Amino acid sequence: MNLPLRPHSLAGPYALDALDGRELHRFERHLSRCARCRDQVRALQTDTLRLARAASGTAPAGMRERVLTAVRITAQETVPRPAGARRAPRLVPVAAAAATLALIAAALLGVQLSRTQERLDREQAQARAIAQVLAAPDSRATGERFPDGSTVVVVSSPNLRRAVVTVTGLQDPPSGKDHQLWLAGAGKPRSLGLLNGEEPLVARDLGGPGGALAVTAEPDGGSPSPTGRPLVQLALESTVFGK
Amino acid sequence: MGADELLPRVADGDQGAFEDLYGLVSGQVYGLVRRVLRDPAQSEEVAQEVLLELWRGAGRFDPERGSALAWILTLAHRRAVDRVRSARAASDREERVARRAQTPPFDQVAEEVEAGLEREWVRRCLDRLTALQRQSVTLAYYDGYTYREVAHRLSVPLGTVKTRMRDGLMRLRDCLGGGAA
Repeated sequence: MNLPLRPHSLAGPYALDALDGRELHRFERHLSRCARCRDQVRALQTDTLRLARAASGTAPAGMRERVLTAVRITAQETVPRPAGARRAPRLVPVAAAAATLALIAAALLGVQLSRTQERLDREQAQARAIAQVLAAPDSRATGERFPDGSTVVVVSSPNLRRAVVTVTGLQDPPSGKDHQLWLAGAGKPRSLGLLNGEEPLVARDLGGPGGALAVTAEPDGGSPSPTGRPLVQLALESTVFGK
Repeated sequence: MGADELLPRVADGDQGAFEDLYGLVSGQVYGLVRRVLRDPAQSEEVAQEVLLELWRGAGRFDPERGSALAWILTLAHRRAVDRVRSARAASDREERVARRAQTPPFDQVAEEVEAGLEREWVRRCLDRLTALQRQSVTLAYYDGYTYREVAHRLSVPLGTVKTRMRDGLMRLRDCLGGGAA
């Protein structure tokens, strides 16, 4: 890649977010040393703000509830502010490990965190399934944080008959056991699958009136019906999975 | 209360302030993301991600570097652009032979009929740029192309595109004047 000899000529592309890769990093390094360029970029960013505002629209109605639910269960970053230290001009991405609950909120909102390559395919399929539920026009969120610090969050779409269930903050199951998620309704509890750590689980073919979600520790690989006592339980309103 | 007052409260963990902030900026965040991504489902996903990042990272906002709204919309724009570029990279791999003949989205801005004073004003001012300035600015900002891609699409040298982007923005500023920003 031919890098320009006069990097400050990149102020326009930078203000428009039209740089990427090495060129972006290089220009940002240059910015930290060039006060004139910072002024120029700042002025140009005022112009791009006008372009941004001209694109204003109306957020989808269901988004508010989902975001506010995510906010209720998501810890904030703590930002150390070293006195006198210059901040990097570009926004730093959210550090994935910063908060315990970031993973579930991320999953809730379909954020892809960086993972090892071999997990990506499976997670992408999972992420698509999750995104599909989240983007369904009828999707709704519910959740609860328990006194022991564990949380259960459910985002469901009655039309798709699917829900994304995320359980966090549970102690690891004893060795030789797995956490299994159940839907307890009028009849026999139905297994929704095994929980893999704090990864969200996509429950399919849901329907009928509410009931309750429960997690139990079951012998490795799960059981046909629950044998352990519920570790967490979340009562569902009848509307969660449709009538 | 404006975004500049709300964001520091959000940084202190005030969920009520976040709700107010949501009311203030969610339409602008979603609208901008949607302009870049087009696809409503993906736009919603990215907009949600941005709004949650506002909650998590509100403490990173530094009022000395500009307004809260500028910070928020910059974040939204960068996330949208990141997403559109990775989606493009994926689809380029899938359909390498794909026809390049799709409708050029150059003057999408001009097609937006939805009123709004700011929108109308910006549109009018974009119309006053030279065609190359306007295309350089809108392909980058509203379509998420890098300036190298813009140069390629418009078949002009890189240096020209860099200059047109800067000049286009400056001319836009002259036209928009000191109006409410």
